[in-house]
Amino acid sequence: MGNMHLVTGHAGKEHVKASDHGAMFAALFGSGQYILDLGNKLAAQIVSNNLVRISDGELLMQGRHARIPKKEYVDIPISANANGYLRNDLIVVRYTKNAETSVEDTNIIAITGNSVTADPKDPEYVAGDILTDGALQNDVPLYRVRLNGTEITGIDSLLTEKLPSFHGLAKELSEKLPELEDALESLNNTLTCKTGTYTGTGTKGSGNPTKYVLGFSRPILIYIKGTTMSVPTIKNHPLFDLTSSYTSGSSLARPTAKYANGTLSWYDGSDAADQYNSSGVTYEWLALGV
Amino acid sequence: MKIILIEAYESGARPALQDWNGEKLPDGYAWCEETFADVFYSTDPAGFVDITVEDDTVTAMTVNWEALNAYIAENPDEPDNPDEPETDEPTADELIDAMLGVFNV
Repeated sequence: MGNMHLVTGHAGKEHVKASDHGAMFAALFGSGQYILDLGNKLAAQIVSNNLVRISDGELLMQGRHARIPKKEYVDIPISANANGYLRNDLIVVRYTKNAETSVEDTNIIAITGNSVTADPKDPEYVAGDILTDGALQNDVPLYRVRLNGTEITGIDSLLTEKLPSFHGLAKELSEKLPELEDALESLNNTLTCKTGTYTGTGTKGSGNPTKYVLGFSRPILIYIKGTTMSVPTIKNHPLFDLTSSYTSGSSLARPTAKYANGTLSWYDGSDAADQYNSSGVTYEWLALGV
Repeated sequence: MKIILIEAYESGARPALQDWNGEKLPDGYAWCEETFADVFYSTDPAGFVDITVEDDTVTAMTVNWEALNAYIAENPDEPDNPDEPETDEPTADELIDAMLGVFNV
């Protein structure tokens, strides 16, 4: 035998151990403790005040697979509690390993808590490391059983980590895909601010519009400042505000702006200056869009 | 790099040259070396030029005098007044107010 164990290989003798498969499952699916997506997933049902039934299901415990087969169940007796006392019991899957024989086993049992008059605590359990330490015991808490006197008042699920099947995972991902695409779209649609300059040519009118490629899919506004022309304050004369139609009323004749194919164009019929296109004038602009 | 509108307007004019940082040219535009700006802006009004485009790039530019003179003839009283005094520039608060106003639409 080599200095590395070839698990999936013929050795001429028995050589594959449970721990080999356990390590592989832990590597593939995670080294934690999970209920797998099959059957009734070890659901709990109160049968009586001294009996809790655990339905069929599959458990992966640090790579070790334990199960209650389909259509089967395990009844867990709950010891009687005294009247007037509160108590928390834990239903756990207990893994054990015999130190002498190395025989491993799992059982679902109830660990009985202390009866108290107020604020009951969960009983202690053993959290062993099977993978690394070869622990002789490991308890996986499945449920907390709450008792008030002789009555079971409720059951709390403690093993909340569910391990979906590959099929379930693929289905969940495909269902989430539109949501992810929307999220990506919104990221791509982040508000962007662009700035630049252009030098006017001195032409005017609808046949000679000033054009500027912005590249926004949806422009919000553009502010143009001429270096020598009269520019009103931004409050009273905003810019080419493309969020709504421009309303007249300013002292400065406003060009007609339109935006198509990522390009803003505008003109003024009477004055190149009012078209922000005075000859030789450098115009600074700032644009917001998505 | 600057870009220029490939198809001139009916008047023969073109809009101002524009800086463009994108890798892909906008539709209808060609790359234009800075050196051609001297020709493009050599007249008043400017932009009346004929261009030759090869592989999306301007390789030659000449003034279109015929179109320029026609435009000047049609627009004899160009009211452009670059000496007009500049008014107050917007303050940062005014700029923010204006932006907030837009967002609250």
